[in-house]
Amino acid sequence: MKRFLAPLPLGLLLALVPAAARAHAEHGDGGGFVAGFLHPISGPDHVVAMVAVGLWGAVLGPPALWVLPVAFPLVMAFGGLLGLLGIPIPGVEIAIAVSGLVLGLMVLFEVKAPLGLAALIVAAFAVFHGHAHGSELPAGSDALAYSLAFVIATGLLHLLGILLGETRRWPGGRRFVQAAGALVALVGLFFLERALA
Amino acid sequence: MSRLGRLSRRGWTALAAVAAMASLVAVPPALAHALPAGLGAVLKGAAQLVFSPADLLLVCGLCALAVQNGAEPGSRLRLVLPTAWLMGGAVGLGLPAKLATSWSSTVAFTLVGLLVALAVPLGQRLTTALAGVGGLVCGLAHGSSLALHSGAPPALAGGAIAVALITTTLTLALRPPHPDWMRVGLRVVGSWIAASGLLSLGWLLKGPS
Repeated sequence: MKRFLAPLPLGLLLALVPAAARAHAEHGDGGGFVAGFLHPISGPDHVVAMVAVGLWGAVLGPPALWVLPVAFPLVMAFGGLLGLLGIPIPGVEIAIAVSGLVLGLMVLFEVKAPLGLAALIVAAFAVFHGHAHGSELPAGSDALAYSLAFVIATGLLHLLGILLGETRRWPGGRRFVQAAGALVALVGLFFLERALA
Repeated sequence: MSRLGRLSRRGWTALAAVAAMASLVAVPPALAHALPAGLGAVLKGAAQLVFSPADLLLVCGLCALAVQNGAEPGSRLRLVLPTAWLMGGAVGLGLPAKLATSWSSTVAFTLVGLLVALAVPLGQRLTTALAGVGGLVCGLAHGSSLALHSGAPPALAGGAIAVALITTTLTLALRPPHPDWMRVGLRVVGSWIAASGLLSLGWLLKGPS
């Protein structure tokens, strides 16, 4: 009997490590959407910069609060277009890291830049972020579903930044937002050091 | 006692085995994930629109553009867009082959998204004309894709009904006057539509890899 039961633990162990079941594998529209949604949120250097755009918008207040999130996806998509077409832009990784550093510092020191200048700074960084994404887009996905999800995820990161920025209305919120800006700047600095190394 | 009652145990077993075999042979098909009833041609037409992101984005973009330009363009859109869709589709049903529309539909919803993002004041006539042209072109493509299939006219009607439902729902839900957050939200949605279109154009320019 004992000999009969001997393989049982091994069998149970094997049951815990099944090969991936691909009955409903992600491909076509669904796969494109999921892949596109995950792409912008899988890189910390991108994530902090996107959140910082929303944070800075909240610091600047209206109309920058909504101009920046409206302008950013459009310019980023233009950068993505350049990346997709293989048109090179030098220093993309450095510029992305600098974007985190600069935007973080803007939030930390509550820099009230004029709307035009703020839009210009954000748009310039958006081109680099878009180019990096465009160069990395996987082949074989559903293009429109991927693009739509990619843009939505980026927009939601901006929204997260705006929501965090709106905590400035509460006691202690201003310090919290400044601390978030400092964190973004530190992450940007870390990636800048890595990009320059 | 009847003859059946006089069957031995072995006879009953044989009878059960034969019945079991017969039930296996006569088993109905397993339809766990099948749709035996089908969606029907009308619902298929509606589903084709819902699962065509480019067409759906154009319809949503036109709704946003209409309500940005006032209540009247929104009301007109509810009539013009489905009607134009149906008319274009009727013409499309007569075409010999499916139209290649990747470029035209992507450019169309990108431009509409840009107009929404920039909140361009187009006025009633231009907004309605744009909706008419968009409906005609999309309907034409929709009709040409259905032309070679059976049940094409009901499917086309299904597509037009779906357009009417989406248009009515969105224009009524978003009817002006808009609070600040909704004005901003509409522009953000427009920028998302335009950005998706720009990226899709990049994919189209790049070609299959």
